[in-house]
Amino acid sequence: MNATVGSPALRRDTERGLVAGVLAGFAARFGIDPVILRVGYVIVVVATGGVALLAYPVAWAAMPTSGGSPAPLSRVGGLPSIGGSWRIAVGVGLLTLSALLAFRELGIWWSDALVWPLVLAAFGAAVLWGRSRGGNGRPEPTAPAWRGAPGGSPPFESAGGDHETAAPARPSFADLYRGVFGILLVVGAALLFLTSNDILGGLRDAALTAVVVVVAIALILAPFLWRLGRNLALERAERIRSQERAELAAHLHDSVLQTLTLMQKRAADPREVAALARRQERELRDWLAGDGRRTAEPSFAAALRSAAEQVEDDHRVAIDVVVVGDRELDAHTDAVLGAAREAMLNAAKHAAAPGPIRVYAEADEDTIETFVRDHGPGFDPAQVGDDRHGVRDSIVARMNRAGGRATIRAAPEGGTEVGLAIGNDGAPRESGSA
Amino acid sequence: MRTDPVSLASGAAIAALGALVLLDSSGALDVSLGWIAVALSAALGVIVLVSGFAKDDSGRQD
Repeated sequence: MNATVGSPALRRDTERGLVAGVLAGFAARFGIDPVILRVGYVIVVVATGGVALLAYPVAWAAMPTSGGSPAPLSRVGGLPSIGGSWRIAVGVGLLTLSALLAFRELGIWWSDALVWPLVLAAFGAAVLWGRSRGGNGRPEPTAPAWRGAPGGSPPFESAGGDHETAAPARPSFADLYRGVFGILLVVGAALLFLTSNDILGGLRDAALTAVVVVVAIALILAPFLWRLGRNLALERAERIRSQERAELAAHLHDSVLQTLTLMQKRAADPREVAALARRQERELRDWLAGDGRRTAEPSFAAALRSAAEQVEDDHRVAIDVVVVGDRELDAHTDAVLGAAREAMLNAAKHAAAPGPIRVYAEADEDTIETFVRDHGPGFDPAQVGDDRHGVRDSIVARMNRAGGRATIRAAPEGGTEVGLAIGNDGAPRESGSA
Repeated sequence: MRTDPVSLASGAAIAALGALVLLDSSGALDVSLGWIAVALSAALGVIVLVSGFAKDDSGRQD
């Protein structure tokens, strides 16, 4: 065999093949005209009295197709894709069968009525034991890793978050197949032993009668049982829906209705009402997005939102936060979070009135970029007095110490925009806006 | 130069099986149906076993 890396793999060529593409596959593999190969094969078949014809279905069974379909032999047992461990088991079983047949031919044999039922029973028991141990090699399903941060703008969340779904842990079709197959093998072995040793004898008629009666009863009861099962499933689904409705009603009563009552009582203070509405909005977003559970994992997005919420609560201002992507907390995220918090504080103190403060952040494993924009009157950083340390130390110097960069500029539509950028190597990615 | 162990084992097993059948049909050997069954199951067992080991190896590389 002189297969080289560059030569095509041996596959059935179903497009150019006349029957199943076996000879066309061989021709493509070895660079021979398929017509020559076909003529040669016909000559060999005639010369061997038709014996060589058997090679064709064997090759068909062993060869995958050029279209990517696996070899039919790989679907031994009726499974769509047979695993390596199953192939090993089937291979060992076939070799054992071969050895048993050889012993039988050599005369080293007890009795067909004893050996074959024993072999079948052993095989069935092995299948059942393998299933009960659960050693099917499948990895355990992982919990969904929801990385989108709660409370942000839904479009940005869908753009930046991963949507991983975890398959529920339940017995697969292969497990069921194995179980039924093993039981059938053991039962078949027992029946074969009883029949071949003529132990069933007079019981055979009674057993046949019992089987017929059971099948008849099953056919009669099948519609009722099927309807009963369907009704049970519908009832269960309705109960789940009812529980969900009750849970939703309880949540609305505990949170939304209480907040609305509070807002009516404090209607004279617009900022307090706005703050209550914002807090309730955050809670509802968290509840809807996270099914009532806040993420416990510390991350940049969660910390930035937490800082914004704290500024909102302390200063009764509205801060819109949009975070695309996320990353774990480290020295770089700490610097950006500290500077962003200071920028939000400045905006809340000096520029909150005309409109909400907007925070936009992009974070990945390499870079973080954050922009804090307000709609205030703006200011000139050069005119800030030496005794004011907020912008100079808490924002600019903090970012410089971490190897990042802070820029402060007048926003085109008015107000001020603080841009914060940092990269893992200290050099932030070039950005046109910061 | 890369050899595929599954193809190699399959080819060898099928060639051996073919040789046995050829010798039987040519009269050089008198092979009974029982021994044909022995050879057939052994050849299939070798092919499936080797392909199973090859699949396990490729699985570890993933």
